[in-house]
Amino acid sequence: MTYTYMGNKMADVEEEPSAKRSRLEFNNKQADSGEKDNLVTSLSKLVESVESIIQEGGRDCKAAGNISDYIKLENPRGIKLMFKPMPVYAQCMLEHDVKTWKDFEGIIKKYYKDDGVQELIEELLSAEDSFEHFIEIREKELAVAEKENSFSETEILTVGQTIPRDLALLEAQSGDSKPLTSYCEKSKFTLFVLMRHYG
Amino acid sequence: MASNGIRDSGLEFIKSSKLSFPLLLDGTREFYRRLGLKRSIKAVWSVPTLKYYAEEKVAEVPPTPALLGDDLHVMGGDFVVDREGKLVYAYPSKTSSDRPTIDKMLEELKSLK
Repeated sequence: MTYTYMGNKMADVEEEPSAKRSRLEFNNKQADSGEKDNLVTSLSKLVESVESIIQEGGRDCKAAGNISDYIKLENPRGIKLMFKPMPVYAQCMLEHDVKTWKDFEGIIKKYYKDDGVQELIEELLSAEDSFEHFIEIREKELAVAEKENSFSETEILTVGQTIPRDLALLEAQSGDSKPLTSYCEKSKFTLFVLMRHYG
Repeated sequence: MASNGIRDSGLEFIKSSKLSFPLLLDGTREFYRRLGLKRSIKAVWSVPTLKYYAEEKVAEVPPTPALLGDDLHVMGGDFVVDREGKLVYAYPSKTSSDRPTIDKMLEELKSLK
């Protein structure tokens, strides 16, 4: 509501539509400007995090000497440090009050026409490409190491084939070694869930 | 349920997760290899995985730290075997978070004669 002077009396009048439009546009621009500034800050931190971990990873990998030592969980300067950017990705989402990366990308799209934002996105994409390239090289090194250890020469079972009767595993609860097929005899189908790791 | 980890960590896992199924230990990864489950760095440390765990963090899902003897690079999967020991369904995971839904598995099993 705005007030206009009518003689000696102040009276309520409805805001002129054009004035209301201007006020709302001004408020929205202020809010957008704030959101854009936050976006620039978030993206800058993320780019820095990804770029720096790639450099650290390169040094650590070289220092480890071989891929097996580099990927060991116990190695304090091992591959697990490549996860350092994860909380920075999370912070981007938290600061912009979104729950998924896809939603965060929605905010990026809103300000993509801004030169500063566009430049940062290009830097981020380039950094992520470099990150993936670093990981891809390690993947190839691991494949070579596995081949050298004869781990890749096993005949793989396909659907329709039978599990070898002599394949036995240790049951953790009892400590007994039992053939896998002994678990299948009691029901029509048995589901084997093979975990990656306990964590 | 099968794991390529060590027994002590397995017993810890059984206790913390209240696992009611047998936990089978495949320390040499013989069963894992026979099912085509290799070790992969890419499936564990890629940018999409970083984003996945970032979303988990935003959702305040508590992290579960690796236990002694855990190998983070071994891929997992879900496999169904019939009474005769024949493999009837195989779902090797492509990434660390890749698993079939229960509904999908049941749908596949229903189609088996």
